[in-house]
Amino acid sequence: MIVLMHQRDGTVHDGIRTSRFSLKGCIDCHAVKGADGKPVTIASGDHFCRTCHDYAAVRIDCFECHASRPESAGASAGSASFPGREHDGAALAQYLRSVGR
Amino acid sequence: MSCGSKCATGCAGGTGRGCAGAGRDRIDEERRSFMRGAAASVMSLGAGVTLYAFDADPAAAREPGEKVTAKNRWGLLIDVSKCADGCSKCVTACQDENGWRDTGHPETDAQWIRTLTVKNPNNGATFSLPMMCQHCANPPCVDVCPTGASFKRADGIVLVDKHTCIGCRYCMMACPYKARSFIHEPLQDQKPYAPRGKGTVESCTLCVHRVDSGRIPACVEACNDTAGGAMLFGDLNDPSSEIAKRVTALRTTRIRADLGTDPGVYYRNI
Ligand code: SF4
Ligand code: SF4
Repeated sequence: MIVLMHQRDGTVHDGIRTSRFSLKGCIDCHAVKGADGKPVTIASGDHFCRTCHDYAAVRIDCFECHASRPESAGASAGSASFPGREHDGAALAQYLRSVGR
Repeated sequence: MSCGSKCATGCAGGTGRGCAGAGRDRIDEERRSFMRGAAASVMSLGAGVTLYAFDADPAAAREPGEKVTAKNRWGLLIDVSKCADGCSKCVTACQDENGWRDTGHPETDAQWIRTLTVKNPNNGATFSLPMMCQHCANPPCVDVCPTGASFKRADGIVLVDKHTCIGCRYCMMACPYKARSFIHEPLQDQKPYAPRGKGTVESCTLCVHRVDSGRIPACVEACNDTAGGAMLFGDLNDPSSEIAKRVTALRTTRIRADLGTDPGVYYRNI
């Protein structure tokens, strides 16, 4: 998050749009497929960002403005779905390993 | 002149800002020659349709990963005589590109670009023109913003950093062109390159995501491809660019130039 904060200023104010500086880049790779085969939005508990933040009971507002899934549907979405709804740390770690490429 | 409800020409602005006009960054000759590769070519399609295409990327002089600089000042030249009555191709293109749309609530819907029909009350003559953020060099919206969210990029593009915007809407009041909108409702499925959300103010970004990758704004592209070719985008700071040459050689108008905002959008045949 600290890295993202720094990079967002580089993007918004200085126009640096290499993928190293792009939240869009994060979202494109870390997309997770839902039951319908399309990448899920932040509304789903399987969303890559939400899994950790739910675990830590932190509500993020990034996606009130930012798109929470890639525009081209199914681009590179992983198929994993998050099993540990009971806030199981080990299940979370395993899930992140499966989608965090 | 008088016009519809969202007209820029009738508004005195009330910004209390003097006609400063100073503070423009000086461009030295060395920097200018650096930009000379970006000349535009003119292609005629017959039947009075003329296309202006950049044969070098407008932003090609900047390496990816390099910061924007005051070397460039992006601007538009809009020839109003080529705007057909009722044409709104530029508006639709902007909506498609940036993901805003009419939801049937004109009082609160976001509006990045709109067409105005202007009427001369003396003789009833009317014409249409597109109106959007004028990307002022002395932007009143930036002056009044209490948080620093409203800012002018080094290359002249005026933006809102929505991470910092508190939605106070001072900038909307300060803008003499009524160019800004406030988002009232939660949004879903925004365009990945055009983040926008409830509680923040937004306006035309000059398609900054396109400009940063060497492309031209969506409205200009649509007007060139499917309408009268009224809009020209380019670098006002580069004397060899088509837009700079035309702005120097032709009679152009900037709306409410008397306010000293030094807009980056020039109009012809107003
Ligand atoms: S037109 Fe309005 S929003 Fe755009 S830079 Fe000028 S004052 Fe700011
Ligand atoms: S609404 Fe946002 S951008 Fe506009 S003046 Fe207030 S804080 Fe600044």
